[in-house]
Amino acid sequence: MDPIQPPVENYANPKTCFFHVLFKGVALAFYILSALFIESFVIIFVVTVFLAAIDFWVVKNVSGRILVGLRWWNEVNDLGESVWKFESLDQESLSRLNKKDSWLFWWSLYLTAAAWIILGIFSLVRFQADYLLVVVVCLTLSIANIIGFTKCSKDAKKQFQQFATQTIASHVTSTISSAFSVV
Amino acid sequence: MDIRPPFGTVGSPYLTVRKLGLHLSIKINKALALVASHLKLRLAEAHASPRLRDSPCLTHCDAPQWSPRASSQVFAVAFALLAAGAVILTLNVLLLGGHIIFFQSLSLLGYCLFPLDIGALICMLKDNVIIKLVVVSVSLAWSCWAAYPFMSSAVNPRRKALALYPVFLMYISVGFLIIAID
Repeated sequence: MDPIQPPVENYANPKTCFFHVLFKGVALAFYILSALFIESFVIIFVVTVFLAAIDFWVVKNVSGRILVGLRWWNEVNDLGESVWKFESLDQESLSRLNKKDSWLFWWSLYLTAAAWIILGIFSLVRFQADYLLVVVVCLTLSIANIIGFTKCSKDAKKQFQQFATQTIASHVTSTISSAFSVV
Repeated sequence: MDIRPPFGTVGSPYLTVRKLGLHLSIKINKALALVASHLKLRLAEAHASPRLRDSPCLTHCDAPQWSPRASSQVFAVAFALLAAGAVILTLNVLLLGGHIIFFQSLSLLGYCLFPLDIGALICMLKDNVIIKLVVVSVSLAWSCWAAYPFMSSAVNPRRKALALYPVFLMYISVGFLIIAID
């Protein structure tokens, strides 16, 4: 699967994809635009965190299962300890999943986390501790979903490792070759 | 010096001294009244936001109003205090070698805050400091009583106080927030 371009086929679950993206987008948009027309910080905080929480629930319970066939949860076993469970569909069902769905799933997760990080940097630079609090809460929820789903997707783990080593390797070789060309 | 000048005619030196005495006592009374009114206003401002204390508003202000900036700060402080406090308290129990489940403890500390929520609501309706003190004390006692069994059963009995003291401290600080803020 080419990580940059979306696959050509159509979405298999358009409604799920829509809801997967909807609450993330509305939370980000509300946070960014609310400063223009809402005076009360408390309203901004409550609505943004509420939307982020709904998004967390939708991704974890609905779109994770349907779009990429993964689920993760926490249980308390008989000994009273808490146990985290990560499950994925068997290999055959996984290969039958729509590629466009899973592309959208992962990229929207990563892009949302990146957007919150950037907004957090903005609020740090402006010394707005209360807006930073909103960003931290929403970022925590996004990262929790990313970690949870990455843990239960061996495929995504492999791809991420490949991408990381590829990037690092290409970066290192290009740096070395440019260093030598200067000398 | 006990000079009791007789009623003098206008211009007599005794009347002048008595007039001076009267003027002085009037001045002192006025000064005392001014000090008393300033003190009252200062006490009222001490309950209000720190920002309002900066404004030179001693004699002609109405009751201090909340600026939106200050109320957002209070909200953020309360949220951060409770969230960070719950996480740290849970870690404290875990580090003391206790047996609790992380998220269960977070939820429980949130639920045990409920009596203080009711207390805060009641304090919002009545502005009297004495009533606030009583209401907050009662709800604080209720919250601590609610959190006690869970926290004490999670650690071994010798470390009970070490686990419970920070919980009480957190609820006490929430109680202070409720009293101190209009």
